[in-house]
Amino acid sequence: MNFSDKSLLNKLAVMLVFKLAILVALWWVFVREQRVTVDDSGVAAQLLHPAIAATQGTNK
Amino acid sequence: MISEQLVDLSRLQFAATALYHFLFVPLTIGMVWMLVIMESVYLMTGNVIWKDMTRFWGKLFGINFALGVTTGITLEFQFGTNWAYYSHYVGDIFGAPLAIEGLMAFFLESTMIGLFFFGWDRLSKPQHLLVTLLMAVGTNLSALWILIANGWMQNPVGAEFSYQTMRMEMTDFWAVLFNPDAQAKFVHTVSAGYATGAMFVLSISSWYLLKKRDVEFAKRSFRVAAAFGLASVLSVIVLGDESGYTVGEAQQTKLAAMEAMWETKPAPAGLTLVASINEVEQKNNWEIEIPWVMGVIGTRSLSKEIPGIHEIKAKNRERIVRGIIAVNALEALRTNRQDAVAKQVFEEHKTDLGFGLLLKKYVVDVNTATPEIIERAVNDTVPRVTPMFWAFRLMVSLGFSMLLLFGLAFWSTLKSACMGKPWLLKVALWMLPAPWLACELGWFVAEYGRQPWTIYGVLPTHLSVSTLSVNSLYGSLAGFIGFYTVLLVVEMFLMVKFARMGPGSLGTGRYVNEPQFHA
Repeated sequence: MNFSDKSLLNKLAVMLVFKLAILVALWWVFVREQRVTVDDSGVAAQLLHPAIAATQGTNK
Repeated sequence: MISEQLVDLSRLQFAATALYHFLFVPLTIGMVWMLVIMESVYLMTGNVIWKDMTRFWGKLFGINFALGVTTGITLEFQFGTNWAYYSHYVGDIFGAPLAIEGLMAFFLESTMIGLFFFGWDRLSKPQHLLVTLLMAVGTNLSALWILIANGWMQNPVGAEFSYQTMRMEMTDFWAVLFNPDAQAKFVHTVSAGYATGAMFVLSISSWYLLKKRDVEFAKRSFRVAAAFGLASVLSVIVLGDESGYTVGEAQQTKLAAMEAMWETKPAPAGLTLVASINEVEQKNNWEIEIPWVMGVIGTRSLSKEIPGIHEIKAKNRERIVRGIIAVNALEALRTNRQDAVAKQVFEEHKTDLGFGLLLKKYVVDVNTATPEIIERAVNDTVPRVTPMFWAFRLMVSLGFSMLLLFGLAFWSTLKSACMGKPWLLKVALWMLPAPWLACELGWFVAEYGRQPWTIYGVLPTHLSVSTLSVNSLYGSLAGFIGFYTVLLVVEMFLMVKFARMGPGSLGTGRYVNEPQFHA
């Protein structure tokens, strides 16, 4: 493995860590609190009474 | 009612991440087989230049893989976060191929990629070639399982809806596996990936040849890319025709929109080359048509009609009306699961349930749907024609342009004359983005053309979406776009840097741009 290979490997390793960190951050900030209950009753409400599901769905 | 803004933002987020993801995927799919070819020649001939080619193009392949990996995982996460109701409704079927893809194909691919890069001095020549081959098999198996999942969204076979669990349940795994849509999509998509890999190698090799550097290395790479690319583009076109046939069988609205076919034409239908589309009056102001061709592509016969948009809408109107009966029966069954009458009515009409649910976009109680509302739901069943029509034609034009380029490149290598045709080398260089553009357009046609469904004819998109807050979607959308743009910029930077360095980056002393090189 020559110098350019080692340098490339370091860059790619940094990018992989960066990717994981960003994905975790995105989930933590935008998704973590947004829970939607999905069981057969939840899906029945969504499909048959979407108005009720829309008001119940967020931040469970 | 589900907010339209919520649905649009969720769709936009998925589309944006999918389109970014597919900038990385086709290059991985295509280059890996070129590595197999180059390494096989090295094993057969013992000529070290073929090993250098495998290692150099493998390095660019590795950059693409490292930056592309995880860009697809966000799509799978979004099924849970943004499309939770969809995931419950079809998870039993849709989840299986995705799980198999992760456990079988991706692990195989990732393990072999590690061995490919770090195994050159630890494995014998045949063992290393076997590793490269298994890496290629893993990559293609990965594509297979993903496209089986996607094919099922287009043509949901081998499954049945259960009113008790409120989800689709698999009845025939083999029908899902050998779904004609999935198989046609798989071969068409991987062939497009092969063409992408070939174009990448052809373009960069052309640049070396234009610069008259590393000529023997570049000529061999050019030759492999030209031959592999020609075979791949021919496959893309032939298998795209098969894909068109399966669309004609299973998704008539998509085919009619792609062809701007407002009226049912007598058999055999002609292929519209170009048209002036008038969506307001639902007609073409003028069109140029090739007789018979669409009939052959869409029906494989000269005697079958292909239904036009107006006829399809009329059928869909009837299905929506029958779907109202299915929705009512389902509501009765959810109240009393022992209701024998409701059960019988539901069994008779359940194939139209999805069409009845289309009305839920406009009314809470489907029984209150006026003729105007039913008409709006009917209009929803066909995607917008203009973007479908032109995206498809642009994709096909790019495909035939690449066929011409690869044909000329292959002919010139047979004559050992590629160095004497700088115009060809320049065209090859400038055509580099063409396969990516064609792939993205192909996905646009496939997925935009599926609307208004997430599962064609079964589950409307607006009912599949999670009830998230619009603000969180704006935030995560901006985050994803920013994140993927950074990845793309880094990819471009590293690719350009190592492509400029050329095989000299291997440090073998045989090429320019390295200290040991002696011309």
